[in-house]
Amino acid sequence: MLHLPIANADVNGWALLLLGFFVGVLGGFFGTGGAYIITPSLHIFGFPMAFAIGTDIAHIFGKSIVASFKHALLRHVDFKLGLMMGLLGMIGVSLGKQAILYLEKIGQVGPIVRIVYMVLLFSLGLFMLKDYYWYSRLSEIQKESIERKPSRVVLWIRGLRLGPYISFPTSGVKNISIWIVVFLSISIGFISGFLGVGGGFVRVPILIYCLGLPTVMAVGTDLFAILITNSWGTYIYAMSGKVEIIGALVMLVGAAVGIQIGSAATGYVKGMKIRFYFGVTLVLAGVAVVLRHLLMPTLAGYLMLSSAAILSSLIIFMLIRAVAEERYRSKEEVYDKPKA
Amino acid sequence: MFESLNEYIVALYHLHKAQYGLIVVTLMALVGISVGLTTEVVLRLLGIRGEK
Repeated sequence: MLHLPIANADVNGWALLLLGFFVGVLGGFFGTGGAYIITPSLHIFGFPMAFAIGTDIAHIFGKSIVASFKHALLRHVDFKLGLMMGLLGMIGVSLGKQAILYLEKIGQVGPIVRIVYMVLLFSLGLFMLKDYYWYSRLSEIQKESIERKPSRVVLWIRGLRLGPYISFPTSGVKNISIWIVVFLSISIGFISGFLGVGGGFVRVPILIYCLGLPTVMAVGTDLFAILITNSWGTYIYAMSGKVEIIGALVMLVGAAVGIQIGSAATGYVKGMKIRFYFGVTLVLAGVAVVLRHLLMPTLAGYLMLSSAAILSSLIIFMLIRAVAEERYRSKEEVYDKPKA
Repeated sequence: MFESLNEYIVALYHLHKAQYGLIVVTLMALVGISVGLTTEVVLRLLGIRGEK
């Protein structure tokens, strides 16, 4: 057992390490911090709720550095867009917190936050699953072209004539109204502050479906935006004494390994497959919120914990299989080459 | 060892909250980078680069 000096609680160190690893794999693969999995799980492990949030934010900051670096190596990060989204998102976070304070004043914070959370998780999750179902029915040639073709929403947004304009050459976004980026960034920040999460589960779908970024680019850019917002969040929470440094460090060791594996897996798995698994995770997280709403928080935590373990094992399996296939193919090529 | 580390953390937090905040941010960054780099080296040795 690991003693946490500030929260004055005892938790299992191995469980923290494993939790960090599983959520790290998912984070590197989907581009999310995973607060919706970690916070309830930490609470089950014996963390007081306020410490669970602070410790979670601190470890997400540490692992987002690793993830941003890895995705930058893979050329999956648009630094300009990520920086804008991260900095503008902070304004939204403050607005979201103000909304929470108002709801707290009128005594409606709990149910409203849970309902907004449920609606967001289910609508985004089901939309991504529907998108994958539609994609899976196409022929291989159509599949190749559809991933590169921008959707109608993206074309509409890119066609809006509302100057000044900004371009993000790394993501292939040209001459888009700056107000769209400002509006989207502040809205995502607002949702983060309102729900008390990193906002990755909203930012990734918005980057894909509204700005038209390729899936892997959305994942990398989102992780960079999380790095910016969470650096400030970690400092604020640590100053108010809500970060359990030992617990956060143990989780970070697991997460830093896991996030490298998850990030590497994005290089081998098709963008649409990532969207499918992301959709599944969001729907499961939605079910967990429903369970918490029905006063079954322990069951909700176990559901998230087990689904994180299963999904991350699946991602590791996909990575191993892809690497093995690649090696087999390269060996075949060597044998097939005619001798000079 | 853990006990003395725990005592040090609690004392530091009560003495300088801002300094404690900075130490948390710095430690998270350092541990994250060092574990991440080690994993990257191990993955490359195993032939998993993630670039396709």
